[in-house]
Amino acid sequence: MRDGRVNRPRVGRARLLGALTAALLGGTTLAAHAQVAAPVDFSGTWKIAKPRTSILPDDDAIPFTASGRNQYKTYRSKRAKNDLEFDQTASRCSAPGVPRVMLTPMRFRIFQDPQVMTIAFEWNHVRRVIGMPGHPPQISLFGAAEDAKLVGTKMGTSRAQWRGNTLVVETKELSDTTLLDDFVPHGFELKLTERLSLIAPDTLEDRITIEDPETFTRPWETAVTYTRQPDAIFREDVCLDRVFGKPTLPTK
Amino acid sequence: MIPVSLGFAARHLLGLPAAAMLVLAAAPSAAQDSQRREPVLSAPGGGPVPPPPDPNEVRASGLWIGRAGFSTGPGGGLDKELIRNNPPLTPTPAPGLGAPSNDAHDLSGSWYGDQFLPAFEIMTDMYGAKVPFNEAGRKVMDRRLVAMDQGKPLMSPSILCRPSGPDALLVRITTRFYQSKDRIDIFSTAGHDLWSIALNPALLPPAGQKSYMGRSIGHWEGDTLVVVNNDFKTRRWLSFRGTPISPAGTLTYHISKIRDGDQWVLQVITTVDDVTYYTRRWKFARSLSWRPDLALVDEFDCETQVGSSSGAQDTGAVPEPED
Repeated sequence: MRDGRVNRPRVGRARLLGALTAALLGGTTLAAHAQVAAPVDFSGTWKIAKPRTSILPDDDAIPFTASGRNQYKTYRSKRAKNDLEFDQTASRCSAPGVPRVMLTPMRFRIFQDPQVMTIAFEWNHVRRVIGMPGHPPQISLFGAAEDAKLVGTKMGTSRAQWRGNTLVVETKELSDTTLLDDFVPHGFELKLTERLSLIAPDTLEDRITIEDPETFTRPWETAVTYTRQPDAIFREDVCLDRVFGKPTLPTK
Repeated sequence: MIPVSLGFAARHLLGLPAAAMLVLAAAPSAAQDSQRREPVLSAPGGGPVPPPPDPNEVRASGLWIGRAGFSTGPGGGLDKELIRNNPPLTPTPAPGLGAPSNDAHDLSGSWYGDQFLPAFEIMTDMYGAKVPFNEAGRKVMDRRLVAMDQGKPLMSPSILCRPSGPDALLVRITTRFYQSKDRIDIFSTAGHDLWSIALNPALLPPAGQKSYMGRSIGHWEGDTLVVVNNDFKTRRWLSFRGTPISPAGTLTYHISKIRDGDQWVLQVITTVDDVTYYTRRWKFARSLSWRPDLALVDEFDCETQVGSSSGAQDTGAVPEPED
């Protein structure tokens, strides 16, 4: 329950779709959804090839609208005064959002199956969830999907399609409280299109197209590359402990 | 002991699959306790609640057994908390969305915890007997209950947006299991509580580094995954209301994928081994149902909800004494 309202799962449409699917399949239990073959397996541990904190090497190349540029300058000014309230990731360890999370200097691990790709980041153990072509109809639990349409989430709503050997991931419904990097703002209409491909067996490229008419005059693009790392279970990283110190919890 | 003939009703009561009931029936019993039980009550907004085994048990600070577990009086804060947090039942998934692998050693896919009330407060062990607190354990548990009942909860890892341990994943929230030869990784709505189980211990960071989630090493015994979890850095909460385990304790999870009629479930039996707080080793059971319609695990950005940029001290919770 939130705000005094009783939340109920929104199931009608999804269940109807599921039942229809089952009827069309004549009772087949699995999963036309799960049968979509993946041409490439990105699973594994990766790390950004050249650590960076900005989405482009030169911020002047970003095609800001007037309001977008004003906001950008405001954030620069605030950071110069060590006022970080505009940046919830720096000030309180909130999830960085996309594409900023793809710039983290620590490792991440991609878990891929025909239905869901989950990218688990070593940084504060945040993660992205990407609906793959094989994912079945979903129900909205406690109104989460409806809330995302209204105000977004930090990591957005991501759906992927294969184009040859490239996985094209479209992400929308990103909270406008996140940033594209340490300074670059965006609005709620932000749409990201990422093209993930292996440009070498151990090199992953993410080409990102950024569209947001409120903040940018035209779509623009950046690219990030990652190198494959040995498999490992990441050490626990707790951002709040790093930023605020260890909490008052009993240790015996 | 809960007779097997109770079947569905008993399973509904405890929220456990049939296979777990077989374990219950075969186990050493608390028969005398069960004969003294009060009639089953209905929890506010939810299913029936199993009465605790000993209504005359004396607890600290005026605690007595309320409708939904221990409270400081009828309609106390804990009862209100239960009403406030009681989610509606989640409908069964539509047909045709797929089934898990037939391989008993493959747990991958989407699972959703069945238990709600037992996640709040573990009132009995899996056989219906009292949780075997020793004096120190009872003190910690009762202090946590009283604090919550009085609206001044004690700080827990969860309240402070720190990882809360695997137990926080095994309640009524969405999980996604990924599995490979060397590891099993479990993601859930519970934010950062990524549970990485090493089937190949070489993947783990060096031993001796304590963490909130602890160190988890798994192996297969027949068709059951056995996971030993230890090396916690803080006193953990096994239930929302505070069933404790000390950093010196060990949890052992026995996880089996079983077919229960037309439903697939993961049965999780947790063994608590902690001489700091308990007089003997004890077990509790939970289960998760196969839910392909909940495959895209929702986001929960805990840190956003922490009071202000000054961070973890703004939760309204009170520090728990070290003892």
